[in-house]
Amino acid sequence: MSSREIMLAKIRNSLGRGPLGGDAIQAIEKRLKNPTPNTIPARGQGGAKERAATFSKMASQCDCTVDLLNDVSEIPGALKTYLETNNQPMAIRVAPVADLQDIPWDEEPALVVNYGNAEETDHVGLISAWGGVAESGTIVALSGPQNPTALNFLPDTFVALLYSKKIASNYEEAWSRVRSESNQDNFMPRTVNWITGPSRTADIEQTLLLGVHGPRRVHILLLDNEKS
Amino acid sequence: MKPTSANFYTNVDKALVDKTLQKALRKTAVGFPMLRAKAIDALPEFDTLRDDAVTLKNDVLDNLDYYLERFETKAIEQGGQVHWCSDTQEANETVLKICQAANAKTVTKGKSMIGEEMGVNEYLEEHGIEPIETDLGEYIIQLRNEPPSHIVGPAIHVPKEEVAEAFKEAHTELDAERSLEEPQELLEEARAILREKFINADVGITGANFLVAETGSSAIVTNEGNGDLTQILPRVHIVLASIEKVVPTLEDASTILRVLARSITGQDLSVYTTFSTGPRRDDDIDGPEEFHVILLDNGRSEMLGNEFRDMLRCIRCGSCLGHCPIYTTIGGHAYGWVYSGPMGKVLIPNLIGHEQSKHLPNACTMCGKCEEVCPLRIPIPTMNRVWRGKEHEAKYSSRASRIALGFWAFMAKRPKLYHLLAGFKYSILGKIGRKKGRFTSVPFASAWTEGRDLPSPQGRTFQQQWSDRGGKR
Repeated sequence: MSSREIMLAKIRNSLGRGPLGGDAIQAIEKRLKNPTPNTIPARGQGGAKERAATFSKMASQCDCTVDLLNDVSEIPGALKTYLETNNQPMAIRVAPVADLQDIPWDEEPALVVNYGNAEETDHVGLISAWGGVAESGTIVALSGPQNPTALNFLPDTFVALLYSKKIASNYEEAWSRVRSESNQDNFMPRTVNWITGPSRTADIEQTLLLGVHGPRRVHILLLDNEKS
Repeated sequence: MKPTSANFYTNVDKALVDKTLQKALRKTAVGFPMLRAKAIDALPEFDTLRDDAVTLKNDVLDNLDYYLERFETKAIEQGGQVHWCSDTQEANETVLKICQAANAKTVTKGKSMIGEEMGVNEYLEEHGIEPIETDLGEYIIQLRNEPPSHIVGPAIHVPKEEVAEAFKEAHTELDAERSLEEPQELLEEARAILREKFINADVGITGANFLVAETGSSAIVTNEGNGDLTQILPRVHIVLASIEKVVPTLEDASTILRVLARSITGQDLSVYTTFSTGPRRDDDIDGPEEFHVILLDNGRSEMLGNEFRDMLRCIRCGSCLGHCPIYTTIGGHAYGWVYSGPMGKVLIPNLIGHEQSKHLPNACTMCGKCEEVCPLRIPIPTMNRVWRGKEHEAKYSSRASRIALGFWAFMAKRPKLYHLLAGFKYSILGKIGRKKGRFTSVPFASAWTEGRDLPSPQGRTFQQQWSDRGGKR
C-alpha cells in the first residue's frame, strides 16, 4: 500500500467509516462549488465612499501612507513629492500593465520609469493593485503576465495605485470578484497577495521594527476617478 | 531534534534561574495578552467568528479524507504535485529527493512548525544541502542551534546582545569591529545577508497555514515577507503541511484569518497573506517552475479517533502560550521539543510518545486561561486531565503522589468519614491560625509558602455551615 492509501485508511478507521458515499459527497461538493460566507464583520461595509474612507483609515493604522488623488494626471507629481519627502531615488520599476503605461510620466522628467519585474537593485516599485479590502486596509495583488509578484517584495519602497471603486468591503467580496472575473473552473492565479502594511518583525526582544525582508514603506495612491 | 521532554523537571529548574529568560518572559506575559485584548475590543463579531471557525474545522475533521483528496485533485489539475507522507522520515526523504532532482545546493526556508517537527534542516545538512532559515527569529535560533521557544516568536528568549554575538560569529566576512548594539543594526545586517540567500537559493520551503480544498491552494501568513521571497525566487517551491491544515473554501480560510493574527499579535491580519496555486503559469513573469505539497500525517490520523481529536483544530496562533502562567514562568525550551505551552503539552505526547513526555501534563495549574483565549475553543485543560490520568495509570507519576491520591480517593468514596476528618482538620487549623488569619509556613509545603501565605480556615467546613443554615442560603 502506498502512504496515500495508508493515511486515508487510518483517517477512515479513526472516523469509524469507509469512504464517503454519494449523498455525503454531494453535500460537500455543493459547499465547495457554491461557497457561502460565514460571519462577515460590519466594519468595511457601506457605499463606495465609506469603503474608501475605512480602507484609508485601516491602511494608515498599519503604517501605510495614503495619498488621495482625483485624476491619473496627478500621479507623477504626487509620486515625485513622496519620493523626495522620503529621500528615495527617482528611479521606479513599474509593472508592465496598461493603466500604468498610460500615466503621463513625461510631466515629471525627474522620474526615471522602467517597466518590468523587480531587480535586486530597484529601490522603488509601482504596481496597479487588483483591489483592496476596506475591513483591514489590505491591498490585493494577483500575479499574471503583466503583474510580477517579486515587485511586491523586493524594492525598499512599495507603491500601489488603487482605484477606489476596486475596494471591496471584505475578503468574501474580493473572492467573489476573483471567481467572477475568471470564467474558468480553476480561477486562482498562481499567487494572490494580501498586503497589509510594510514588512515588520518583533523577533529581536519583541521590539517592533519595519522593513526586515519586504518593503520598508508602503504608499498607496488612492485614485477616486468616479468623476473622470 | 531529539526531544528532552523526559527531563522536564530538570529543564524547569534551569529555566527558573535563567535571568535573561525570566526577563524576556515578563515581557511576553504582558505584551501578547494586551495586544490581543485591544484587537478583540475593536471587533464586536470576534466571538461569532470563533464559533464559525470551530464549526468549519469540525466539519473538516469529520470529512478529512474527502477534503484531502479534493485538495489533491485541484492541486494536480493546476500543475502541482502532492506527496503523502506517513511520518517525518518519509517526509524528509521526499523533500531531499525533490531537492536533489533540482540539483539544489542551498534551500531557503520560511517559518514552518512542520519543518521543525521533521527536523528537515538537520536532515538536509546531513545530505550536503544547506538550509537557510529566513524568518528573522528562526534565523537567529538556527545560528544558535536551538529549537524555537515560542511557535510565533521563536527567538523571544534571546537578548539583543546574544543576537549580536551569533551574527558576529556567523558573518565572518563582515568587519569584526562593526557596531551591532541596536536592534535596527541587527535587522539591517540580517536583511542584507538574507537578501543574497533568497536570490541564490535553488529551492524554497515554506509551511502552510491552510490548504484550500476548493482551489488546491496553499496559504501562508508572515509579517516579514520572508515566506514570499522564499517561494517566488527559487525554481522549486515545497510546501510542508500537516493533514489537518485543509479547509473547505476561501471563505473558510478568510474566517480563520480573522481570528488568527488578532489572537496573538493583535493585528487584523498579518502583513502578508499569500495564496499559492500550482507553479508559474505559461505567461507569468515570475514564480517557481515546480510546486510540491508534502502532506504529513505523523500521528494525526490516530488523534482523529482518540480523546485528543479537538487538538487538530489548532491553528498555531500561539495565544495560549503568552496567556499561560506556566509557560510565562518556564519558557518554551523547558517543554523539551519544538512545541511548547498549553498546546504543546497536549500535542507533544501524541507526536513523540507518552513515555518521552510523561511529566508535561503537570505543566498546568488548570486555570483554564488557554481554553478561554483559544480562537478555536480547544478544551486544552480537559485533554490535559486525560494525560494526567494516563500518567497515573502508567505509573509515570511519583510513588508518593500516587499514594496520596489513593488515600484521597479512599476517603472521597466514604463521605461520612471524609466529612468527619475534614471537620476535625478545619476546626484545629482554624484554632491555630485564628490569631494571624494565615500560615506563613506549613510542613512539607515550604516551597509553596516561600512566596505566599496560606490563609487559615475559619474553623468550620462548607458542609457544616451549609447544614447549620438548614441547607438554605
